[in-house]
Formats: sequence, C-alpha cells, structure tokens
Amino acid sequence: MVLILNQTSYQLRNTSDTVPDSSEDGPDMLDRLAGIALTTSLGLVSFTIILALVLKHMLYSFLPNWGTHHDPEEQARSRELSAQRLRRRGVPIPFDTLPLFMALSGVSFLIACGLTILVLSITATAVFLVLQVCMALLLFRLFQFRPPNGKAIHAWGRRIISAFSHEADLDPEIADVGIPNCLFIHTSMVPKNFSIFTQLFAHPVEHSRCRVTSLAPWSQLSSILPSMLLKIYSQSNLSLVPALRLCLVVSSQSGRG
Amino acid sequence: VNKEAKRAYSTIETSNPLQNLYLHLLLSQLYATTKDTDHWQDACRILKCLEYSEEHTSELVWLVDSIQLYTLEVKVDFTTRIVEFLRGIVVYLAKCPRDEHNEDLLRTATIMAAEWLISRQSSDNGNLPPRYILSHQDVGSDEENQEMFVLVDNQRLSPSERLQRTLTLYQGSQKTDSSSDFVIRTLLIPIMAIESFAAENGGVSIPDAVPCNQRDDLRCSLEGLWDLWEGGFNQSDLLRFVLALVVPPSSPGEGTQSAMIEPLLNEYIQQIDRSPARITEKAFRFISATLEHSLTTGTTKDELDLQLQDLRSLDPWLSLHVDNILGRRPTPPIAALERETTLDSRVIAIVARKRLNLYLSSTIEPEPDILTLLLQSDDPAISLEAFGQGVNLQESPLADESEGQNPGSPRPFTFASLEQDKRSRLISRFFDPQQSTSMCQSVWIMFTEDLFPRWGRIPADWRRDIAKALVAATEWMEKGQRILAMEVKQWHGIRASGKAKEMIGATVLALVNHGDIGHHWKRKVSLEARDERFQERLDACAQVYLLLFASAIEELGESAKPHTQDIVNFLVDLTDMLYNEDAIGRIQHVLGILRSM
Repeated sequence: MVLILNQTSYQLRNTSDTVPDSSEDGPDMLDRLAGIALTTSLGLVSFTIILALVLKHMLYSFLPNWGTHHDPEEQARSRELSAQRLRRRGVPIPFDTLPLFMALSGVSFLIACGLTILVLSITATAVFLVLQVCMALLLFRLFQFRPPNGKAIHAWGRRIISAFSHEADLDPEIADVGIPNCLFIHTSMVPKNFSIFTQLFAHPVEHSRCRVTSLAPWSQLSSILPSMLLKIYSQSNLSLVPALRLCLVVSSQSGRG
Repeated sequence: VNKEAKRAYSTIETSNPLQNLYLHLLLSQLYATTKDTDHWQDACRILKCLEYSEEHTSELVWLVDSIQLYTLEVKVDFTTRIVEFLRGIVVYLAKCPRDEHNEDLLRTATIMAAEWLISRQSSDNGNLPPRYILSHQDVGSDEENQEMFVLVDNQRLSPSERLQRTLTLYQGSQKTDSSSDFVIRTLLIPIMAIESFAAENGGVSIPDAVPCNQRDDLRCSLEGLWDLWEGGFNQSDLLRFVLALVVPPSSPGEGTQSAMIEPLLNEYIQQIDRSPARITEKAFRFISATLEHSLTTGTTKDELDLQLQDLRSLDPWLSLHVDNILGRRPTPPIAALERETTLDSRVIAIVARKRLNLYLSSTIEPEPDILTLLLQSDDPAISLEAFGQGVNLQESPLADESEGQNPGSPRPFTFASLEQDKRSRLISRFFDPQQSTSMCQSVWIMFTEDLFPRWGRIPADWRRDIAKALVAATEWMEKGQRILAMEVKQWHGIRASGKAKEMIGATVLALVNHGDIGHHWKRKVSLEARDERFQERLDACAQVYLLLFASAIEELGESAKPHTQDIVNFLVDLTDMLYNEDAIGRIQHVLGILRSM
C-alpha cells in the first residue's frame, strides 16, 4: 500500500514539474472563475440582504401609529402623508431595484455553482445549465422584475445632488419636485378631497417646487368652492387660510374663463 | 355660483385679520361691478392695521407674489387700486424688524409688483406673463415654465444698493407724465423712504441719497407717505425725508422741523398751481398732521399762524382748518364758508370733523352758526354729529350777551333758523332705511346720549317732526332692532360679571331719568368713535330703544291712534332684549288699548 502511494506521489511530482500543455490550462481557469463567481454571488446576496433590512427599517420608522386614528379619513390622510415621506426619502427607487439585485444575486450564484460543477463533470454542468435557465425564468416570473425607468433614475440623481446643496436645509415636507401638480392630477375633484387640495396652497411661497404653476385646470373646482369653504369653516380644527388662498386664485381664474 | 359664493364669504365671521383680508379680497372679486361696499378698500384698511408677525409676513409674501393672479377682475382704477394695496404692504413692511428673511422677500416682492405695474403701462393689452420672485436655481433646469420665475437681484444687494435700485425705478417713472405713473410714484416714494432709513443706518446721508425736488415730487410724497404716517411710522423721520425732498442739500441750517413748514407749504402750493381743487385728501391730512406735529416740537401758535397766512388766503375752509389746528374761534365769516368752494368734498369733511372734534375735546363752546352750517353737510355722519352737539348745547346757558339776550338766560334752539323743508330733509335722513349699519348705530347713540335726555328741551315743532318720522319709520326701527339686539346679545355674552351689569344699569338710569337731573352728562366722544366703550354705549341704546319710541307716541298723542295697528304689530315682534315694561305701559295708555296685549 505504501509502495503504491509512493508511486503515485512520484507520478504527480513528475507531472507538475513538466511544462503544462494547453489541455491542462482549462480546469485552472475554470477554478479561478468559479471562485470569483462564488465570491461575487456571495457579495450580491449580502448586499441584497442589507438593502432589504434597511428598507424594512425605513418602512418601520415611517409607519404611522394607526391605533390613534379612529376616523377613516384621518387614517387615509396619515397614510398619504406617510407615503409622501417615503417617496421623498427615495424609498421607491431601492424598492424598484431590490428585485434586480435579488435576481442578479440568484443568477450569479447559479453561474458560480455551474462553473464549480463544470470543473468536476460535463454531465453535471449540462444538468445545472438547464436548472439555471429554469430558475432564472422562475425568478423573473416571481418578482415581475421591471428595470427602473430613466425618469426615476434622473429624479434619484437630482435628489442626491440636492442632498449636497442648500435645498437639504429646506423642510423635507415640501422639498420634493412637483408634488402639488402630481397630487392634483391623481386626485379626483370630490368634496372629500378638499383637505388635500387646500394643503397644496399651504406652503411658503419661496419653495418654488411646491407652487401650483398651472391654475387653468383648477377652475373645475370653482363651483364647489363656496361649500368647501363653509365645510372647512365649520370644522374649527382646520386652518381656513389655505382654503381662502385656493378660492382667491381659482375664482379669479374661473372669472377669466 | 356667485350668489352661493357671496353667501359663503359673508357667512364666515372671524376675528383673524388675515382671514378677513382674504374674505374682503374674495368679496371684491364678486362685487367688482356693483356700487356696494368697497371690499377692496376694506382689505387695504386691514393691511394698514396689520401687526407684525412671522405668519403675517409669509402670508403677505404669497399675496404680493400672486397679485397678478387674483386681480384679473379689477377693471376700474386698476393701477390706483393695486397701488393702494401695495402701499398697505409698505406700511406693514415699516413694522417688520430688519434682517428678517421673510421681510426681505416681502420687500423684493413689492418692488417686483411695482416693476410689473410700470411695465404693464408699456405693454399693448396690459397682459404680461406672470413673474414670480423665485430664482432659476430654485426651479431647476428641467422646468418648462422657468421664464415665470425671475430673481430680483434686490434680495442680494446692500441697503444703499437697494435704495439706488428703487431710485432708478422712480426716475424711470418720472420720464412720462401719465396719471398712472403719478400713482405708481406714490408707491415708490414710501418704498424709497423705508430704503433710505435702512441705508442711513449704513452711513448714507438721506439728503445726499434722495433725488432733488422735481415737479410733482412733493405731491407724490405727501400722497404716498400719509399711509406710513397713519401706520405709526416715526413722524420725525418722515418729516426729515420730506424735508430732504423740499430743501436742497446745499442749504444747511434749514433742517429744523419748525423751519420747514414754510418752504414745504410754499412748494406744495406751487405744485398745485395755487388751486385748492388740486389738494388731495391724503396730502391734506399729511400737511395737517405736520402742522400739529410742529406744535408739539416747540413751534408756538403765533409763529405757526404767521407761517400759514399763504394757506389761509387760498380758501376760507382752509382758513377754518388753520383755526382748528390752533384751537381758536373761526376767523372766516360764515357767509364765506357758505359760498361755493372748489375744495374736494373729502377735504371739507376733514375740516368739518376736525372742528366738531375740537368742540368735543376742548373748552371752546360750539358756535351755533357753524353747527347749523355743518348740519347741512352732504356727509350724513357730519350732519348727525352737528345735530347731536347742537342739541347738547341747549343745556349750556348763554355765557355772553350775544344775540341780544342776557347772560345766564336759556339760549334759543341752536337750529332755530333752519327752514322747514331743510328740517324735514334732515330728519328723514336720520331714519333712512338704506343707511349703513355703522350709521344706524351712530344715530341710535345720538338719540340715546344727546336727544333722549334733552327731549323736553328741544322746541315742540322739532319734537313733533321727529316723533312723526320715528313712528312712521317702522322699517328703520326694525333694522335698528336687529342691529341693537344682535350687538347687545354678543355684548352680554362677553360680559361675565354681574357687577359690571349693575354699573352699566346705573349709567343707563342716569341717562334716561332726564327729569331728575338738572345738568346732564355731556358727550365727549364722537358718534363715529368705535373704541372699547362702544359696546357699552350700544347697550345703553338698547335700554332707551322703546322708551324713545314711547316718548314719540306720547308726543303725537291722539294723532298716533291711526297707526295703532302698525304699532301693535311692531311691538308684538319685539325681541326680549329690547322689551321695556314701562315703555309698553306708556304706549298702551296713549293708544287706549288693554294691558293684556
């Protein structure tokens, strides 16, 4: 037994001492590639996990205390406010990209596994390749992954730039771009939404991004403004001034029309 | 929609001045074409009284910045109205502490609004694209409407640079001679005054910085600066500013305020081409305030009288005003005052009010001929005040041997010389159902404080005419009833202490028991005054309401009987607040009806 082992050792030593040929180059490269792929996939998985944890933390910290609101309208307003805060903190962008990272980490892990198996056996590689494709399809199906659009990336970029500019000092409640107009477009003009409309006119004037720049569509509100004003007046807890601002500019626009 | 909006805006009652400001602006949009109450003026008035607070400042920034949006409906006197509003903003600016971010923004916005008004003159149709005070940077490069946002460099300039910028604007507006430019200059002048004082703290001398006097400068100044004076701005500073306009900087020693009266008046008289008709209300108020201010800073009455000879010579009413300021008996003969005058009616009203207030506040005894003249004034408030004072005068015995009577003997009725038709017109004006709420309140105060306690002292024919008009004026009485009942209800709601109630009750008793008191309480406060005692006075009116009505019916006696049905209908609907058992008994007795009514 000892003899056989010595013989084998001798053969191996002789092999390593000889100049390597091209057929022996492949497995070494694959080894290294497999190592790199495994490391990358591990890194991606870790990053995805950290991102998911951070998002969870942010969601938790912005979650309003639902227990204190008994009024459904109040709950809805709190929910809307919470959603606005999340949007201003840029949470939707990581949300968009989280499935991408999860998919990438999964795919890279599969590639790494494939490479490792390739080093061992061609048949196993073929089996893993088939499995890889199936898994990738499953992942895409499962997360319904959509790449983030250019506008979102642009907005994200601007947000990062603004973080380093003076605008970071502004009240975060109002520092977003075009919230009033977006809200206006997506809010139906029914009396129960008055409080949302009036809030658009409650921002200080120097925060230009909160300015409602086009008043023309607001003239649709003119017929319900008086009743809205009386309703707000009767609810003494709401401030009348933003509603009066709204009435002042909208009624003058409708008069013009 | 307009009807609904009017109802909504009128329903809202608030003590918050900002909310009231908005409501008046909204109502001014709805009443733009009617001759009702001028809500725009009311908004301007609120602005001028607005106290400083950060909330007010940021709200005004919004209002000025958006002024182009909500003034689309202003068709008549556009520039004048906008300037009036912006001058109110300038008054507010004068109350703001320096180095405050929002104050800076507000000033910038106001100057931009002035620029907008100037550029609006030169545009074809007056419609310019809206511009706001914001910077391009704040908007971002991808905004489509960035031309709407323009940063005025003013915000970054030092006070002296800012003053120079306003001066450039002012000098630009001097190149044309239109009435609109004159109005805009009345806005730029107070802005310049504020900027000048800010620059003065930085070492700039006002006489050197302010442009030399040009034609109409002084007229613009007095017109524009009166709002600042009225708003509580330092009066000596304002006079220094005006002095810098009038007296060239090269003449040192002319800077004292007492020495400036003469050049100021001479310059003003020259600028109005010696025509009293061109004296405007605000300029007149400013000059009057200046004259009174000079009396408090060392000028003697005789010196002032000497300096004002030129003004006296222009018009007898101006001469009377000088007498008012000096606190003297009138110099111009009554015939001269009765003649047609070219003075603006608002200026005459100022002189008349000043004279009447002088009678109230000083020991000068009212002159019956002046009171009779003022009784015939076109302004119902002046006429009412004169009547009240004339009735009050009945109690004062003659002090001298005028009109051929012995001193100490009862004087003839102040308005005895008034013809029958004038008397009827005057009395019917008291009971005009179309009169404003404020006027109705003043009439009731006059009845309560002047007429009712002296009911027995006025001539029988006057008593009968007033009684006849009062009994016939059911519409007016009902209106008064609503006003008094509402006010008194609120007053009672506010008043918590029973002790205060007893005290007021005692005052009312002293007022109504005219038979028991030989010498009645003489009114010292104007009928138009709306001070802290106003509610108390109205409460007394409510106590007298039915008693006066009963006295009128007693005066009419048998001739009141044909109106019995109307009177009963009126009494049935009477609110509890105004009910008076004694008065009801007296009325029933005269009308011969049972007590079970």
